[in-house]
Amino acid sequence: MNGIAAEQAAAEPIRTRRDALKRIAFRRRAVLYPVARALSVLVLLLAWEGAGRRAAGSFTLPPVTAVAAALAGQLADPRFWSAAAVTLQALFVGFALTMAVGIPAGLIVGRVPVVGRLVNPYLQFLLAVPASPLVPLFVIVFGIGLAARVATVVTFGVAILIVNTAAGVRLTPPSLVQMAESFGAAPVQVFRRVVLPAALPGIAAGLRLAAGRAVVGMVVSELIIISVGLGRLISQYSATFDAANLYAVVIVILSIGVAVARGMSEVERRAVRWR
Amino acid sequence: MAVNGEVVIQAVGIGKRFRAVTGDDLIALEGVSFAVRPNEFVSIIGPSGCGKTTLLRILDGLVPPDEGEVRIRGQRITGPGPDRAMVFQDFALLPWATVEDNVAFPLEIRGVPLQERQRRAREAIQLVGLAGFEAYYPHSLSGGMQQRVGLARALVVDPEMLLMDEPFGALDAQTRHLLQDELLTLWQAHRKTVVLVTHDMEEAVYLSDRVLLMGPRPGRIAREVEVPLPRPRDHTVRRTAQFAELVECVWDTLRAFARP
Repeated sequence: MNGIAAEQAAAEPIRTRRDALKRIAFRRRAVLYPVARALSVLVLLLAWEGAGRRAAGSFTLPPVTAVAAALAGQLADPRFWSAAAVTLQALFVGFALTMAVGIPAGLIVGRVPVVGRLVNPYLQFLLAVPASPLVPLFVIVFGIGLAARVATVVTFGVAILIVNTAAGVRLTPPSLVQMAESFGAAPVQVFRRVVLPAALPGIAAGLRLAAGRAVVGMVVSELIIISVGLGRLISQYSATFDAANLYAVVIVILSIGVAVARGMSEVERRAVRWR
Repeated sequence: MAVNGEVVIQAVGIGKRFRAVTGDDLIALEGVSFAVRPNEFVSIIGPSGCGKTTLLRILDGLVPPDEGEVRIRGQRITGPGPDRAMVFQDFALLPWATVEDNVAFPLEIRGVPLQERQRRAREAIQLVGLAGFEAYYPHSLSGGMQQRVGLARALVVDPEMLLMDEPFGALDAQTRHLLQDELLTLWQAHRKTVVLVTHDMEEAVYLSDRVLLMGPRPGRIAREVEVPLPRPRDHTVRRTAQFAELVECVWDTLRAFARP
């Protein structure tokens, strides 16, 4: 059949031009952007160092070299690592629970309109109000152990995961569901072969957003009431005006946040690879 | 409608209503009756909104009629069946699946083992001229190629009947002509029973043995035009006076519907 050849021939000039544009865009992305990014970081660090030295003796802004030294000291200290372990435990357990609850709940909320209508006000409430005031409540219910911190992490992240998962499910094209039904797919098959893959980008976006909020929940629980882990280090260093170490711990927490976000972006990229 | 001899699809007094926004019932189809012989190519044509897509969905069993029934070889249908396969206007391809997985999808649903699935999918892909594109994703294919995938997916289950819902409506004119030619070739080689819904008069006359014309709401079969053009046909038939006359004949009826 020569129909394909004809169709391709018609598309050819546009494709080559688009390819050329793509190559230029790619080169820009591959070389220019990383260089620009590195430069901006360098400028920022230099400005920080300069400002820190000028304000020597002040507690507010230690020079970046002092912070780096403090960070090195922390990384060599086993007490820092046990604090980090306590913090990460709450994050990982909490996020695992968030996924275990949020994804199935989101699938049901998205697939069963009645449930969606019932649950939606609560989800909107959880999304709209800050979850921090709930932390003392969790302490009353769970005590000041791991459970209260895990509950905080879950409370921060689960609603956005449910909402995004449900949105992904609702975005399933009805024509694909109809196609599957037309070929005799049972409801379970429609769900597994059509709804679930269609919802995957929504689930992945939900995971990325929930992960960011989970990190916030992790920090908030330790700062507000349950003084353990990295949060406790922050409280200690700020109480003793040890700004260099304070910044060092903050940098560690930021790094955790960035690492989690990166990991989730990778998950998302894989989920929508076919696009 | 009198059709003598063997009948494979029979629509008997099909009626369908939809609840409109105003709360009133909108009558989409009323008293639609017709029959399709085995190996016959029948087109249903009518103005947009006449319910022809709804009618096709009822024939497939996706939507139950409010009145009347569809019989396949005398048996009343209650849902989709393995003897029928649909080709969709918007292609309805799974964007996350490759061409091969899309074509194999109906077999997967039916629990056909992987190896046989692959073999049959590749055969069907070959049949529609897409060999070499098995590993492509739908978004990287042109509209015409996507609909070839849709056609291969319908053919892979080797159905007795093909139900086609404006399959070439979303394509540009050249691609549409190419695919019409190829569908004609395929049909002449395999002789499935085909019900094609279209709004393209030339397409209907070119491909069909019979054209059923539907009137506007409530949709019903207003007229039937036999197409006595000789078989096997090819694109040269489009240039004959007989072809022009038949298209004109269909157009006369449709024009009458278009008048307010």
